[in-house]
Amino acid sequence: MEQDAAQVKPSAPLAMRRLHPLTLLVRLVMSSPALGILLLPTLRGQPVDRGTLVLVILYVLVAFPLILAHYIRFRYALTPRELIIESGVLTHRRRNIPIDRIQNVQIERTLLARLLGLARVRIETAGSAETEGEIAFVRLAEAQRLKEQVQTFRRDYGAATQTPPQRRTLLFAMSLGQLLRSGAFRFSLVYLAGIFSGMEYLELTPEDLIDWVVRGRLHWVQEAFAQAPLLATTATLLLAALLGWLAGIVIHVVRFYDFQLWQEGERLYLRSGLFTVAEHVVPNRRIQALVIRTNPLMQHFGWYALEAQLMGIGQETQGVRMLVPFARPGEIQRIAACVWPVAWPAAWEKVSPRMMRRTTIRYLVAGTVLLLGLGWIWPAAHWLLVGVPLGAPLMAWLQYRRHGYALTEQYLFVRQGVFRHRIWCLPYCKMQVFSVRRSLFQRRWKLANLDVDMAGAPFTGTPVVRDLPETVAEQLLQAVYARFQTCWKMQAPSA
Amino acid sequence: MESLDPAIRIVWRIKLLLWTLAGTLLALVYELTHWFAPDRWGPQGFWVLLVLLLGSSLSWWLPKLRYRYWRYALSPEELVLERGVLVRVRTIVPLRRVQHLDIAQDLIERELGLARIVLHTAGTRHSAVVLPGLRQEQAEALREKVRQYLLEDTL
Repeated sequence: MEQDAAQVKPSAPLAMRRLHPLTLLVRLVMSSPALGILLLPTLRGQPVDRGTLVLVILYVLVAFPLILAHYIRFRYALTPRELIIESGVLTHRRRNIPIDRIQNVQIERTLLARLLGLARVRIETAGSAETEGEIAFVRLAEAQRLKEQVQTFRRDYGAATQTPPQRRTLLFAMSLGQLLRSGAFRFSLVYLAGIFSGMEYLELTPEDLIDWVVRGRLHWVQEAFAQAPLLATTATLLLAALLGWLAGIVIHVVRFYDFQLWQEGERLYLRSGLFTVAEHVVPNRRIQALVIRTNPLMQHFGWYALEAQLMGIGQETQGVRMLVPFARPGEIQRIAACVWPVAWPAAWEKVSPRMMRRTTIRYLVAGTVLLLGLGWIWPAAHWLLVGVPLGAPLMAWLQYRRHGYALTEQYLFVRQGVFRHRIWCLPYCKMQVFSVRRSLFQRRWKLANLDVDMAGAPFTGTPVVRDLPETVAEQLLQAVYARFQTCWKMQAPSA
Repeated sequence: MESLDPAIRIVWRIKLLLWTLAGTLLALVYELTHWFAPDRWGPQGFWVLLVLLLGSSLSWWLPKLRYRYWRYALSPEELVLERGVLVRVRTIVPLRRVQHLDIAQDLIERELGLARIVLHTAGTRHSAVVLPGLRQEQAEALREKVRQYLLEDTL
């Protein structure tokens, strides 16, 4: 194994390094809480029974050799081009991380490691929440050597460039009036559920609360409700909707109070918040996709929001960041143009009309199952089953109408969703992995999904072009992939 | 496009049989604890037999089918994978998108001289693309090719 790794530099045979032997001690100590739990009764002064003894012996027989085997199997080497890590006791693994892919080297020292003069080195590459490489533990000096070497090697490839400070310009800000107006569109039952579960936790019932607020002046209402269950249900639903609406406004105001978006050279700068002012710096090159989103109500009044999907290191810097919470389409387009020169498509390509049939069947099945399940708990829900044959085709038709895609020179646009309508702008250069998938039922109707994976996407609600005719899907895949390739050949790579 | 090494069927079969075994043990526990219970579901021994039959037939057929539909091809700039029994997926992984790569072997694979390659990209759902069922030297050769590409391609 060592020979093939040395091919790049035949003059210097690759020396794989081992961890510091004291690692064994650290790991033993780190695993001792488990032993402590096993021995808890004994430590409390109870006599050792046979079961505990067997468990302890088993633990010692398994854990100790495992620690030793892990130490023996773990080897690493740093060459000018890559970091190689060999590990795994049962599953052997050899990982190659090219130096220029490494984004960050972290040195971490726990108390015990510090006492022994050891350190843990974490190596992170872009786009993933987990640590890609962990070297634990080595002497502190070795850890610093690794970090410095990676940094020097990276500098050799010109990974780090300094930009001169630039002037800031304000792109977007929100007044209080507009903030309240935008909050009014953020209806959410999620917060309401949160409030109710909080009340449940504090053992406050709504009746107590209302009694306390109105001091018994509303008894006639309670009596009326007790006599007409239908009235009570309607009133409860209305009240829930009102509370959800108010909760949405409050949360929205707390989060987006005094929202400002600045541009500074190749970076965006965001700040907002009522109680805690959150500030974020978003370098342009980390933006992977722009997303315009709206819901039917917002769209009816001509309001939209703009989000950026970011690639980053770790969970905090990765994900979707709101750039403009609430604005007219013209303003959204103007701000988007400050990030990328986007020409938003005027016309959309439609997918196969068979999508309606598939979606109808899906909603029929899902709705029926859901309502049958609900009917198990609340028998009256069975009546709602009547609505399923009407609702399913309607939703399918709406989904179909709202779904589409468009190809331009530099971007693939995808739009979808009824209640959460989104328009994605995906630059070819930033695409990661391309897939065409056909389920059993899609194959029968000669349909296929095109799925382009991007960095920093949330786990739900990613752009998929659904139910294209098979041949069109294949052509689209080829077209998108060809543009991805030319994009990389044309311009100096920047992602 | 190339097929996987036929020995991968044995690996999949063994893994599915292990799952079947685990399922059977669960069913057995249920059977033994509810053997004479008046409210048990189904006749005695039914669940063990059901799990055993379903599991072993699945272990027999599924690896065959999976193997039949698995194809891969490495061209100079991308790795193309085709797979899936119920859902057919065709995936293109551009090599310039690979962040790092693993060769991994578990116990069963090592016994049969097989290895799998895992390509890690910065993507979200396909952030780890797995190509199983390669002979070890094949896997290493493939790794070398991808590696050479990565080292030549400066980001």
